Amino acid sequence: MAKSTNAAMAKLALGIAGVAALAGVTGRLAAANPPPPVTGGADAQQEAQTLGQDAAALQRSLDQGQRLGGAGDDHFFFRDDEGEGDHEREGDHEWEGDEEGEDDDGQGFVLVPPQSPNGSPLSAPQGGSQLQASQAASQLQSPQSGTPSQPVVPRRTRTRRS
Amino acid sequence: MNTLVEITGAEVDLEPWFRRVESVLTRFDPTSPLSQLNRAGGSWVLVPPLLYRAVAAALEAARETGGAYDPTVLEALEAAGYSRSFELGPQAQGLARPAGRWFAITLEPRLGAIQLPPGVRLDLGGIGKGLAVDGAAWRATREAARQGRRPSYVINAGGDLAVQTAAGEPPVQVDIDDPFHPDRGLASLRLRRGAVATSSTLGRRWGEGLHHIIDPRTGRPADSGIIAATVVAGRVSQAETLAKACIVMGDERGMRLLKSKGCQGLLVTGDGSVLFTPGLEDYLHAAV
Repeated sequence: MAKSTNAAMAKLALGIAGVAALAGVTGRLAAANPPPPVTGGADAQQEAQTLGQDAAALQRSLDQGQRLGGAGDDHFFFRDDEGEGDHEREGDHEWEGDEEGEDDDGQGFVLVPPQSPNGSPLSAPQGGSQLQASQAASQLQSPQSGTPSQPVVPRRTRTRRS
Repeated sequence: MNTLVEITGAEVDLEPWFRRVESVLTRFDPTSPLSQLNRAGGSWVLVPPLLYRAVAAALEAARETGGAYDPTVLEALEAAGYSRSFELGPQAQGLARPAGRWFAITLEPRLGAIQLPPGVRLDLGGIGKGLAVDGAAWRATREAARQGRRPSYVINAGGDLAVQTAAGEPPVQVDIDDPFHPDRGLASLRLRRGAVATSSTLGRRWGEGLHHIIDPRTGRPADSGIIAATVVAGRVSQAETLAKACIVMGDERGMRLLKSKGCQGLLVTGDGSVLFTPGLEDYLHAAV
């Protein structure tokens, strides 16, 4: 027991020495290469945590009743089984992509097939499908018109070369 | 960022977030934290948390793609003539400089410090845009939760976009531009939630065979036969780096990469052929 405690203390000491050595290196180098100002503190760390975050994962956590972090959120539950403050609304059970056979396969995206009774006119050889760009617009099926009224966000956007 | 960001449905002001990310990750401002880090090759540098996280994400993307996506291509990019913001025009070319030294970058998470190897400089342009959109989507989701409602938004930064619809809403149609004729649509997808990104060698181009997607192996603009790639993924940053990797890798390896990551994609070759992952077949339709 004492040995393992000593070993742990030794590791800790090494860790501290490592950080101190690194800090020393950083400090020395800072004179020659002034580092950018570190907008440190909890706010900067919290800001950085959102970079590249998975919004779908956040929503799943919220759906499982996980609290939001941060000031002012201490009393927030997305789903409260006790009824009081229950935010669950009609239609919520449809949330996890159970329409039209869609499934995100755990990859965080949900594609929806075109609304066509004929299915895709294309067959997929192994390893992928292929057609000519000039023919794509005519060979791929067209969606049926008709979307529900009063959409919350525009129902169309573009991805283009960048 | 030199990019038009279109945001709809997000009930939170995301402009400060995009401006903040740009100010940290731009390579065109010599005073930005990224530029300062790039000038300090060989030294440990304390960096803002945003930059630390972006570099960590870029290195993870490099690992995921076997180095086909490589944030250390800046020397090669500048040697190819892309040394200042694109609208200012290309500069003189230098010798091709192979990249591939991303694995030699060292991160110190306890201090938030980064050490680039001497001579290595980073370009976080594409992944930075993707990371910014991911972060914006996360913020929009959090704000919606705070308001007790389901998130519903489209956040589109120059064609790299995140979509989220609420229950009962129709999906969002994402039109994929024809890379040869940007005024025309090539195909469309309907997305209930997720991310889409497109990269192309025809976009930022300043001469025959000169574009901004560098093959890290040669240090020259990629010439794999793929001229555009559109990827559907869970996060925009992942879609963006996978799209770039596909253009570097070519059709066969690119398709295998997408399959291994569980993502869907559409690749356009230089002769106009369109290849797409089998899982996308039932979801593509004509852009109308």
